[in-house]
Amino acid sequence: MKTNLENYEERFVDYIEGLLDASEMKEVEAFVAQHPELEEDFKLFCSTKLEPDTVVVYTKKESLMRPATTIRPLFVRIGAVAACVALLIGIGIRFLKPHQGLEQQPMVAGLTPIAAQPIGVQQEFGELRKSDAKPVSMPKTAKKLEMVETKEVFQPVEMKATLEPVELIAAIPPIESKNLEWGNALTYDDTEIRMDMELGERLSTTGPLADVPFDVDLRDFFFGNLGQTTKDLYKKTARAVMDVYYTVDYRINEAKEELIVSR
Amino acid sequence: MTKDEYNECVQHFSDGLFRFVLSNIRNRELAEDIVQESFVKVWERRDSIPLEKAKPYLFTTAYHTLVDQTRKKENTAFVSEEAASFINARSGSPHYPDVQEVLHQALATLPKVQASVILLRDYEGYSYEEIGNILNLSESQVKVYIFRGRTALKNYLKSMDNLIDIES
Repeated sequence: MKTNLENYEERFVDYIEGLLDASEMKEVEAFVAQHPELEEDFKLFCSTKLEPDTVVVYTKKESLMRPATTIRPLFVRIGAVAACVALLIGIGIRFLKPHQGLEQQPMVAGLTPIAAQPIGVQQEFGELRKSDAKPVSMPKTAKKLEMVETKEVFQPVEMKATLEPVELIAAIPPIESKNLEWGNALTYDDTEIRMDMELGERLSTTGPLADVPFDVDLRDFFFGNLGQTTKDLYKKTARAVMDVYYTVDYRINEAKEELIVSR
Repeated sequence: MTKDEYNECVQHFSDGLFRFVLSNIRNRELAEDIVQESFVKVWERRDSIPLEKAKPYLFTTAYHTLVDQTRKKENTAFVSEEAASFINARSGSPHYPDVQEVLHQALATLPKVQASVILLRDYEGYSYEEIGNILNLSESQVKVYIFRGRTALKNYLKSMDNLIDIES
């Protein structure tokens, strides 16, 4: 295509847009040289390239960033606390009613029973152990923590009845740091706690504790949408069992602030 | 897109996106809101947005948002005031602004689609095809808008030249 008085503006734009090859560019330049009255237009077209003002920057990047690690421990803690809720209730019930016949022993639904074996609990409640009948099948999951009547013996971990809460905690297998990697699943007491969740997503679990009340939106927890009873249960249990109350509380406030800032 | 990739997007694209929006609408507060909103949308849909699509997605989202916002704001006749204050803020001497200041002022007179194709071309160096994908236009439409936009900018510069000649 040759440049002429009909198409010169289009050619000028193609020129500054870099759409012409070297010979075409020379042809346009020659056209301008032949038509000095159009030289001003040509120069002005060449001046229409906008340049970004690099001094102008977006100053609120931090509010857009998603922290990868700051609230991670909260999930571990809450998951662990929830697991401990089940654990403690199971054990607590066992201890609080030591003289109750095993035929009426209350259970926490959903926790897999462990085969009877000689342990501290059995030594303390030897007589009861004698009536420890053969375990029968149990539901592997439970809709919520609820007390049910069963003939089975619930024996979550091996420990002595005289254990204090602190010792009880010590009996819980440690959570290894390798389990804390984002995207990993934390297997805890046969309960898989997914770690690849975000604030606002639902904490889900599989295994025996699937569908236990810590299948909650963490945001509900943070903003008080969770039922107070459930919330108290988490917190009180956390305080009693793992001394994570303040950690949890701190993380809640931290996450709250992040969420508010990001909004 | 992973969380880390999203955070990289914030680091690398937020400045460019902010300049693109700010040059279009001339309102810092509104531009910040649009940038934030665009990133929130990317975050919410990160599972379906691969990293290489994140940047065009951001610009597409920001463009649609700013067009919507502009329609609302134009009803309150704020654009010209904002444009004036923006130009004055950029320029040490509002009476003799440099070419870039005049160009950015002229940009406000263009239809949003023309301003956007030129900004994406000049600021971000996108090809016509990429601009078309971002703004949902064909390549030939992009070329037409580029031509119309540059012609309008050229005419604006020319009128400013004439104005200065008359004043001096």
